[in-house]
Amino acid sequence: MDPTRTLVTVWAALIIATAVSVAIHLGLGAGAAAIVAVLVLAFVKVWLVGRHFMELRDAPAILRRLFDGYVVVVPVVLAGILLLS
Amino acid sequence: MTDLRVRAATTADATVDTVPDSAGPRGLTELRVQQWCVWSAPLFVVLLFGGLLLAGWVPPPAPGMTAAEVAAMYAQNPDLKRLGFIVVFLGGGVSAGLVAAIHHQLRRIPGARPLALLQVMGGTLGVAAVSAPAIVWMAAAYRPGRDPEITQALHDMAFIPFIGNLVPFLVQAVAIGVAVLMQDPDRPRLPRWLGFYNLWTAFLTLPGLLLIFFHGGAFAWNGLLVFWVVATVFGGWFLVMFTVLRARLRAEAA
Amino acid sequence: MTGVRTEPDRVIADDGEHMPGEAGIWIFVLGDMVVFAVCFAVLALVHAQDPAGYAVAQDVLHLWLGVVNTVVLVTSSLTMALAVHAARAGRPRRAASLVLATMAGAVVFVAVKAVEYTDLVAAGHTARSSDFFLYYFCFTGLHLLHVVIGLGVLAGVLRIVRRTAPTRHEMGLVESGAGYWHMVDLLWLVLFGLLYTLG
Repeated sequence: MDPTRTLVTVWAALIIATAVSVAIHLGLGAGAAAIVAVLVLAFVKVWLVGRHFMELRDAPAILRRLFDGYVVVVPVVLAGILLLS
Repeated sequence: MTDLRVRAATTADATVDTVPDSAGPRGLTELRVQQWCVWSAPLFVVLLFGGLLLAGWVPPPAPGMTAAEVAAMYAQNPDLKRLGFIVVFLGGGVSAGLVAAIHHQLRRIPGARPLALLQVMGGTLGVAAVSAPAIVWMAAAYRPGRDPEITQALHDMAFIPFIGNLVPFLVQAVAIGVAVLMQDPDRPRLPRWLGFYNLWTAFLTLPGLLLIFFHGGAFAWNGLLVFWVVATVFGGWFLVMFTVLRARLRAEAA
Repeated sequence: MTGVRTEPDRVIADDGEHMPGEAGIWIFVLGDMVVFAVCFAVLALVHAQDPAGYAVAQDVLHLWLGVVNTVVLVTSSLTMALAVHAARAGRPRRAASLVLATMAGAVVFVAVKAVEYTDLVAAGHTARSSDFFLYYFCFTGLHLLHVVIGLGVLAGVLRIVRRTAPTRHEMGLVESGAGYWHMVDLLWLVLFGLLYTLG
């Protein structure tokens, strides 16, 4: 895919993910499932921005790993705080 | 004037410093003195946090304490606390060594002389930002029998600037950050990442300014964002500057 | 000292790896992301202490203004990424208009936030109202500061991309500025998720 099309596709995915998270919020309301869904959607969006907009896709491995680590560790910690306390 | 400009140009061009270094008595060169100066950074960190530990203030006392609680706290291990205050006071003075060593590097970056001066101003006020609260703590601990309200006022007067007086440091870090990024990208005297690092550090101190609104929570003077994040970043900054300057001076010596 | 003199060599290196922007900007970006992670954890703690109170306070927020700002920021991130591609392709006019579009997005974001703040304060919801609003104002305020600084960064990027042939070093600065702007975007995505949609 040419770069412009990839970027526009990523943009569309981000918009759709936002719409889905709002729909979940309005539909599901509170609860563990909604919390997990909101976190997963938010950090999938973060990952998409990092990988495609920030061009981490082509970045040195160390940078990619740090970023990927962030995208995994932070939501897990947040889920731990939100669900376990 | 011409001489200065030529000299600036040569230093910018050479990877290793070529400024003639006139030795002082007993062969003490500027390089040698700088190598000592940079050690003030880890020494400062040890004295600052060591002094706080002696006073029993890691983590800092809660800002929500009543006057009676504050007075009782000062009455507990008073001499150990006083010793801690002296150690923090000394730490503040010691940190000046690093300011001098940084100045020595920045002033040789072409065009960055005003920033080198600004760094000294920020760093010098930073010394006061540590020393002045230490003096007020000394005064607070001086007369344990006095009205607790007065001790509490002195306690606030020391703690608010001690944790919150970050503007001098902000000025210093921004001056360093901009000066480092002004270097010729092909022949940097100091690594360019150090510039971004300083700007980031400067930025991080900003939440500290909010502490006067809070008596509890993440933004209070003992809070997660204002004490723990800022203390880590601030202490870390001294160690990073130490490591980078030491590497730089080693390269100059080689 | 590895990575000390990272020069943005070229667009895609032979081994397929390319450091986006200068190595140094990543200290800033990742460092800021870590600090914001602490902020996210604070919000999670506020929610964990009183989920019902969190939900009540959250319902007061203007969800749709938050959605508008999310769309604005995501779109400005897209135009920024496209601008970098245009600059690399040697199309300065296209790159400059795309950076201008990004800056317009930043201005709209600030304006919407100003409307939101004034409306909340007018309705009596201030940082003193509850823990939720305290951190809402502090964290979105901190983020807004990033946006305002970003406007300055983007103005610098605009000056470079207007030139017909930016040097490699200058392209590195453009990529660094873009990286900063995408960070502003992704921090907002998490803040939006936690503040507006966490049931």
